[in-house]
Amino acid sequence: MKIRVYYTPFCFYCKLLKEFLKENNVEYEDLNVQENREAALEMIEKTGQTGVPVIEIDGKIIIGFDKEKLKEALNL
Amino acid sequence: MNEEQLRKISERYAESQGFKLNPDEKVVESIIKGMIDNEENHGFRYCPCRAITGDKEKDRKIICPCFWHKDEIKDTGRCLCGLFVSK
Repeated sequence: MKIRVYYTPFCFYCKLLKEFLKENNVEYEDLNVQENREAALEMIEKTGQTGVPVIEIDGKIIIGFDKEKLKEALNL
Repeated sequence: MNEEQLRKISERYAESQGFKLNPDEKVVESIIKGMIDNEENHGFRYCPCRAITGDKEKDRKIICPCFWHKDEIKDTGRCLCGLFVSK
């Protein structure tokens, strides 16, 4: 699975998402959208909005920290 | 501006608008720190849970309180970052 997480360092829900991924041994690429302009614009283009966390799982986008949607998308 | 000052400003704003700060102290602390960090690094109290494009005109919308916060509180009970919640 190709997984990308768009996050910001002080976002509490981003921390929860990353903890959840760590607990479930899920590997991912993370992109800080407050420091990485390219990633920021990419995320905005893909989602039509500016908020994080955003997780992209093999092209499927989930906005926000939603455990149930994550479990389904990650086959957990 | 320090964390305590920004927290008080945020609290007063919330009260004036009919909502309140998130009772979860961990969330509030993280967001306040994030806003101060953004002010130091980018010059504005950007919402710490939103992407910064670098386009100052576009990024005006994400200065706290952000453009979407009232609708978000109305629709979901909290703004995106969780700083403000409905009473």
